[in-house]
Order: sequence, then structure tokens, then C-alpha cells
Amino acid sequence: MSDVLPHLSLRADVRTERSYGGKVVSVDFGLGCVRPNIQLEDGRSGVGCCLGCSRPPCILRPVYPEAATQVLSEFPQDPSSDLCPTNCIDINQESKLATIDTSSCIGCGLCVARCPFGAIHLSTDGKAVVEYDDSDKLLRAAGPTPLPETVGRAGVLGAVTVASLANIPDVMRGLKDVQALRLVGNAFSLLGVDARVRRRGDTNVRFDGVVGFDGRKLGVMEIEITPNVVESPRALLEDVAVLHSRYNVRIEDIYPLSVILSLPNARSEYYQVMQDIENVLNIQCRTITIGALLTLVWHHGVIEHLDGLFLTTPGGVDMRDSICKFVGSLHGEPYPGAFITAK
Amino acid sequence: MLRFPNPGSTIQNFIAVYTSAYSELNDKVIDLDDIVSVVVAANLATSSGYMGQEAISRSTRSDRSRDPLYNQLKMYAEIFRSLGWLHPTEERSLNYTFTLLGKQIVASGRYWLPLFRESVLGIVYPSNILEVKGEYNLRPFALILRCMQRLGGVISRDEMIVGPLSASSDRTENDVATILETVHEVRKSSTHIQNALENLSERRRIQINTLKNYTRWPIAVLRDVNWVVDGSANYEDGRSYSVFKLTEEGETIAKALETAADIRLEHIGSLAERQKRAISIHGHYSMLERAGFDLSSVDKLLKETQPDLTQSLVKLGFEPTSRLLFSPFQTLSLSDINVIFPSEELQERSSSRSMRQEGSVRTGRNSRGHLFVEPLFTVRPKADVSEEAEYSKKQLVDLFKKHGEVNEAVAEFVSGHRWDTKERFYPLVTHLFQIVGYASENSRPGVNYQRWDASVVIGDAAIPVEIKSPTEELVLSMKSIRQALENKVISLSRGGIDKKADITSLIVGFDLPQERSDMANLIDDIYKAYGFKIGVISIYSLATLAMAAILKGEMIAPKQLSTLRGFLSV
Repeated sequence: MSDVLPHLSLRADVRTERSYGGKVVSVDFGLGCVRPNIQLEDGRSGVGCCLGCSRPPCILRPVYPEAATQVLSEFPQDPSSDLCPTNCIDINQESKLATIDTSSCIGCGLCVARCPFGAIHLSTDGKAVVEYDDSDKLLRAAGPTPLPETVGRAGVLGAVTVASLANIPDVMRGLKDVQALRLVGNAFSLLGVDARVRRRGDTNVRFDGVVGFDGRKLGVMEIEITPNVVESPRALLEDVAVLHSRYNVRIEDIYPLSVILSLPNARSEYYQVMQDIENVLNIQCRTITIGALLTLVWHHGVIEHLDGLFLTTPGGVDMRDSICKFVGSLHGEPYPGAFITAK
Repeated sequence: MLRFPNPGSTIQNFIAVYTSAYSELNDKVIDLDDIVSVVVAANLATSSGYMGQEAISRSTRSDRSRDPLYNQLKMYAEIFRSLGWLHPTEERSLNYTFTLLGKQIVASGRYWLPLFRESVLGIVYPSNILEVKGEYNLRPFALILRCMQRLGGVISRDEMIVGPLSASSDRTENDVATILETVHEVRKSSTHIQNALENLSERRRIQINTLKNYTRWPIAVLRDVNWVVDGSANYEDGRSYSVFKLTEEGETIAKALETAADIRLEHIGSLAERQKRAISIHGHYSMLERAGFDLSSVDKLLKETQPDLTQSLVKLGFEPTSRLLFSPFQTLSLSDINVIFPSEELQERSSSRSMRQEGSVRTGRNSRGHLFVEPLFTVRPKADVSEEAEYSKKQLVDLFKKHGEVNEAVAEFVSGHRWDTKERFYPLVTHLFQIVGYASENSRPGVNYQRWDASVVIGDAAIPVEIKSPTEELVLSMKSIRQALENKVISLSRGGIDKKADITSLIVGFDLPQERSDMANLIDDIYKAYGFKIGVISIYSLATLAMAAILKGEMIAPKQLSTLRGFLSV
């Protein structure tokens, strides 16, 4: 009988003998850009290192098996299971540990935020770094460390002014459409939201993504990383009509969500059209920038709903209050137009 | 020319379709309907703007040749067969089983790319597994890469068409030299390549656009596996043109192919059974080894068969240590495969084909008859038209005199505006509305509340009109519907024009798409969600209305135009 052979990177025994010998309770990132400190159930603590997980959370995106609504369950999403938008993290065949191709790492921090063992951090020059060195002697010879169901996370991956967030506009311009969509979808997933972005080339479903919240609320996304954001409000209007008419979603249960790179200046028609939509149809469109989204991820935010959050107001947007609901306080913005409309 | 189907998808989606089908239907004999059901359940197929079960329902036609999902999956299946991942059963060619090579693709998880590359290089003609139209003796992707390497690392789409994809053999140095010579010849100038394409088109009786369509899948593959990137090169006359350029990875593989032991069906025929088995086993597992699989469980088998492999390679005139380029699942017959790679007995038929059985889904699409509106005419009151509109009116009159027939006169009028830019076309639309009998004017640039391109006054309401000139959009797109919707919202919010929700928002374009279902669905969606009406008029219809006003003194009824929902059909 001819058997199916296992791939070297996916063998069941890919997990190394590296083990903390106990459960991780929390990961503390401190003020960011340093090796995170982990706290183990048995009271030991110290800086984390890569354990070489068999299904590495730093490589695979979170999966929400039970979709809350029909639209979410049927949405033709990006088939990739990758967490990293540029696919720059992988398992090294020899060491069986995670390794990062720094030439394509954009420093978004998704892998850092997702690793439950505190093994990855962001460097000050905006690259993810995997730590292999067990400098605090936490590793034990005993069996592998189980993937914890929940891990407390504290601190921040880096200051909002750190290089990688500040460089987001340049970085995003270099990404392919599918990579940008993956970044947004996976960032929402890390914020506790069931997010699905469309797969490349599917012209049948016109919205870029959907996000499901508790209580059957549904966000519909238009993701635009070019400066041409005036298309987004009218696209959202269409999206709401399609969701309501074809999938019987109540209009009041839909959050139209414009995800953009940076806020256009105060004179842009973008704000006025969103205001028109609210005046005429009582539909409130939301705006969130990539900078704001990643800031929330870097602060381990969990979004349960969007009521009253990220609203677009006449003449501009100020997202700082909305962001602070999740992250406490903010000092500055990573790049112009990331949080506040330039006057 | 080799004809690759184009399922219109990304390679990653392509892998996901196969993986989903395998996950649900493994170890069963399956047909296309099974694959359709599974890929829809996995959210990998959409149709006519719908997803999920509704996509199946919208796609299903009693005439299967017009069923978009079925046809798309047929193309997928053909490519899966070329890649050696699906085999037809011996009983029926549209019943399939999953192969061991296909199972390995599933087992590779997110690391599918290297084995996909191997499968692409494994495509070979002739084979005992797939019949292709015409006489071919070549390994197409390997040939493209080898040609590129010898052509300065670049090739254009058109060069690919007249060169490697039109070759019938790559078996001898002479065959390859002839292909290279053809490409060198067409690199003299754009006229040379254009002539070569036209000659080929005439010889094969295939339109040039169709020839180009056959390259879509190969080009998508070459790009997605990172063997080529876009670049530019110069003809001998100095003018530049777009090409695909070998990447470092592409160049490495192209060089490796030059010295590989490229085993074809004709070689296999000359080998003893033991040797055939050895070369097949080593061919398959060498693909897996290069793709990063763990071969430790077949180590013994490989050692046992090594002497027979060495003998076969020597017999065929290859170096025994050469890279083996032979994919048995893409070359050998089903009976040979079953002997060399024995597998478990299959269940006879899949039991998961309930979704597409007759009566289980609503077939066809919603009736959209209500969205195709014939004009109702009323007497046109006397009204002045602008001086510019008089000019269009005179043109129409002259054309009617010339043809003596409305349709022909309007057709010539419309074709005369085929190349209008918006500076000419937008005023033309307002002039035609004036001739029809309604005051109409273009919006002034820079006026904030006038986002629409023109307005038409009907009674006490002014209707916003979104216009698309033929140089902007020859055929109206869905985008124009969005813009008309936005115009409606802005007009209600900011005033300056109609303030009535039940007044239509118009779109005038040069031509309407042949397939209007997506547009019609969206017009219905907007009405259902917001109660807004969107009306669509082609320039042909508008000019015909103008002709009716000139010749018969009739105009489209104000009530009908101001509440138009759907397409005005004249």
C-alpha cells in the first residue's frame, strides 16, 4: 500500500523537546521593543523563548469555527491560513523553531501579539525577532508545553511612535492587495473579532470583508490603502443594500466600516458623504485606519462591538477617544492622519 | 497551440478547492457536481454576485453547458488532471478519483508551493492519462523556462504564443533551436510579432484574443510560483515592450532542467516492467523529496529499487545521478499506476451529492422583467432647445434622411460618438434630453453639492444624472450604479436639486453590458434596502427618444422618466 508521506515542516513530532515544564499564565511586553517576560503557573518567571510549536500560532491565523451569521459562514474568504501578511515567518527545517525573514518583515507585530509563549518581540528598527536563547533557564527536559487556551497579556508591543508603525504608510504602499487585506483581517481576528476578508480575484462578492460581533451585529468592510478614499462611502452604501436585500441582515445590525491607511484632510468629500448618508438614511459609517488597528493589536485590545466607536463626523475624524477605550492613554500618533484628521 | 483552460482563479484558491474536495470526498469516486457542492460549502465558489447555497441556485441551469459553476469546475478538473491530482475512472471520463500525488498536495498544508512546482514541471504530452487536441511531444512549462533561459532570461506573452506554446516537440536540440529562431525573428519589431500572431491565428483558425486567453493560466502559474516577474525589453528597433523575466529561482530551475533526465512515455515503453516500476517510484518520490517531504518511511523501497533505476537511466542514455524529471501520475496509465502504487479499494460513488440533485435547488435566476421598461409616449409640448442641441438635432434629421430608417440613423449617430471624451459626451447627453423635451444642463465643475454630471428637470423636480462617456467606460459598469446611488443620497441631503425620495437617479452611458443580471440585482437591492430608484439609459435609447421627438412630436412620459427603475428599453 502506498502511504501518504508527511511534510517535514508539518510532521506531528515537529515540536521540539523544548518545554517550560508548566503552563504559561501571562506574557508581559512592558513598554515594548524588549523581550517579553513570561509568568508560569508554578511561580517561575523570566524572558520567553521559542518552543517550536507543532501548529505554531505565530504562523497560523486564528480560526473561528462557529460563524455567528450566515453571511460570515458563507463569505468566500482568503483561503490562506497564514497569519503574517507577507508570509515572512516559517519553521526552520533544522532547528524546528520559528524563523523570520527580516527582509520581508513589515513589523506589524501580528506574530508577536499572537505567540502565547512570549518568544517574539519587535526590535526598535521595526522587525519581529524570535528569541531562541533561554537566558532565564526556564526550559525543562519534561514533555512539551501545551498551547494555553488563554494567556494574560500586558504591556505594549512598542510605542505608537516606534519605527514600524511610523513606517506603515510606506510599507502598505508596497503590499499587494491580498497582503493588505490579510493584514486587516488578521488584525481584527487578534482583536477577538471573527473577521473574514475576500480572496483575491473574486469579483462576485463586492465587499472586501465582513466582521462578526456578539449579538449578531455584522461589520462590512471596504479596505482602501490608496489615497482615493472617496470611493469608500458609496461602496459601503452598496454593501449595506446587498447585505440587507440578499442576506436578510437588518440595516440596523450592520456597521459599515471603512478601513483606510490614513485620514484624508478635512476638506475631503469623504466626511461630507458619510454625513449625507447619516442624514438621509440614518446609517452611521465608521472609519478606522491601519495605524489605529495595529495600535489596538499592539495593546492587546478586544473589540466586542462598535457602538459609538470610530464614528465619522462632519469635517473629520478623531479616533483617539475610541482607541483609548481599549488602550488607556495615547501619546502622539504613529504617522499623520493615523488617528486625527489633519486640519 | 496548447490550450490551457483558465478557471479564472488564483493558484492558492486552486489549491484550496482541491483540498476542500479531498477533505470531504476522499476515497470516493466523484463527479463535477460533488466538487461544486463541496467548494460552495467551503466558501470557495461564488456566482452572479451571490455566495453559499444561493450561488449554486443562481448558477444551476437545466442546460449544463450554461451553468457557470459547473463549467468553472470542469476547467478546474481538467487542470487537476494535467497536474496528476485527479484521475478519471476507467468507466467514465467525468468520474474521478484522487491520486496519491494529489493527496501529497493536501498533506503539504501551507507548504504546497514546492510540490505544486514539481507538478507543473510534471505536465507532459503525450501521456496515458490525458488526451490533448493535436500531436505534441513536449513538457510545456519546462520548455518555456528553458527557452527563456536561452532568450536572455525574458519572454513576452505573444512570444510564448508563437514560440514554446505553438511548438509540437521539444525532443531534440533542433526542435528547441527552431522555437528560439522563431522568437528571435519576432523580436525585430512590434510589427513582426503582430504579423506572426496573425499568421498563427489564420493557420489555426483561432482568434488572436482566444490565443491570448490560452496563456492566462500558464502565466498565472509562472508568476505565482515566483519563476517570473514582470519586466520590459526592447525590440531590435529600440522600442520597448512588456515581458516576463526569470527570477533567480526561475533561472536556477531552468538551468537544472537542461541536465535533467527528462523521461517521456516513449522511454517507458522501452523499459522492462521492473525498470518501469523503479523509475516511477524514484520519479514520484524524488518530486516529494525536492518538495520537502520526509522520505524515511520509503527509504527501504528506494534502496531496493535503486539498481533497477540506475540500469534504466543508463539504458536510456542518461547520467545515473541526473535529476529525475518524471511524474508517473502525470504520465502513466491508470492500470500501470494501480500496479506500481497500490491503493485501497474505493467506495463506488460519493454519497455527498445531494445539493445539486434535481429539485433540491431552485434553478435559474430571479425574474428581472420588471427592470426592462419600454417607454410610454405622450405629446411633446413645444419647448426651445439650446443652439448646441440644435446641432445634434440637425445631425439626427440628416441621418434619418440619409437612411430613411430610425434604427440605422441612430446607429450611425451613436457610432459617430464612439470616441467622445467626457467634454463632448456630457453636453451631448443634455442636448439629447432637451431634444426629447426636458430642460437639462451639465453641472458646473467645482460646485460642491453638484456631484452628478447633469440634471434633467421634470415638473418641479430636477433629477441627478450620472454620465459615463465611451472613453471613460465603453460599457457601463457596476461602479456607475454606486455613483447614481450616492448622487441620490447627496441630492436628498444637500438639496440644490430634487428632494423627493421616490424620484429616480439616472445613469446614461454609451452602452449597457450584455449580461445585465448583476446590475439588475443591484438596482433591486438598492430599492429594497432604501426605496431608491436607479434608472439606466444607453445613448442609443436616448438618441432614439430624441428621434421620436423630432419625427413624431412624442416624448417619454414625465411620470415614467422621473420614476424609472431599471433599464429603459427602446
